[in-house]
Amino acid sequence: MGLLVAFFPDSIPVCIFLKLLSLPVIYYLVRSFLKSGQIYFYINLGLSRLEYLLLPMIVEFIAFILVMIFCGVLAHVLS
Amino acid sequence: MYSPNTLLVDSVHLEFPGRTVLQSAYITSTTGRVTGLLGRNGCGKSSLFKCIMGAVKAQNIFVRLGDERDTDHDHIGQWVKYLPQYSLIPQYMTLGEAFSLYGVDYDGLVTFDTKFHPFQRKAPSQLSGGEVRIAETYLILNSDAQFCILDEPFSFIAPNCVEKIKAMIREKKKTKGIIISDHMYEDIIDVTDDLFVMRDGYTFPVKSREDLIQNGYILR
Repeated sequence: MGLLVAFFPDSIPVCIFLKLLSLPVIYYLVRSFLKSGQIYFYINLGLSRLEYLLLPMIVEFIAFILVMIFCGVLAHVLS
Repeated sequence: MYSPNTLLVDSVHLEFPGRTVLQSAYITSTTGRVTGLLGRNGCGKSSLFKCIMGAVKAQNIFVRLGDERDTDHDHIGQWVKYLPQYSLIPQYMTLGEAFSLYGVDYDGLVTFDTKFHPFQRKAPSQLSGGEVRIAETYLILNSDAQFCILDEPFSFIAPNCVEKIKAMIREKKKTKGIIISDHMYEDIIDVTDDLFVMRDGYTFPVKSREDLIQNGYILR
């Protein structure tokens, strides 16, 4: 997003809007992942504590990329 | 890939601002034996287990599986399974899904207690606390891990099911090392081969009832 904004400053509002959409997702994922006992379910499967805590960020990042791709395709179709 | 038959945990030091929970705590587990850990509320039993599993970062901890010099403590879940004091299975997951992820046959749970037959597609929130506890205890004991740590497995369990779980522990210890902790200390004593009590952040071996009295765990 930083590169996009650097080369296309007009895209700042769009990027901010897209990132704001992911905030409730991140909040929900972090809340649900930190619930008592649940971490042990995944540690028992062989994940480390760090890998478990990084999961929400990875999921959010992948979701954000998918949203960006969808928006790009939609903009291309509509234009 | 090695097959460890001992789990050694030593020199565990855990402290939070204003409070030292564990000081050089020690516990060991050997395949074929059950190790019990007793202690008063808040003495650090669960904290010790959480440090072993890596969920809580201790200031110092030494964990060794078998004779390996470098044990991958970060991924200890490959060899050690932990039943926490509170819920294990996520609320959004059904019992069948959880059993499938752990590679445990759900039909075995139904054989253990036929009331679980219609519960395979139910989530923990749809069951009673005791029913979830039995399912989770069965799940951990029947997983493929070399070692199991059970933190208060008898909580919310009816006496007849406690006896069935104790029988399962005696059966499973033939191929696993089991560490167990609960406040139903007479049931713990009944099923364990080695017993420790935790006090003031340290673990002490227990050889007799008098040791429990001396360490302030029971009155007489």
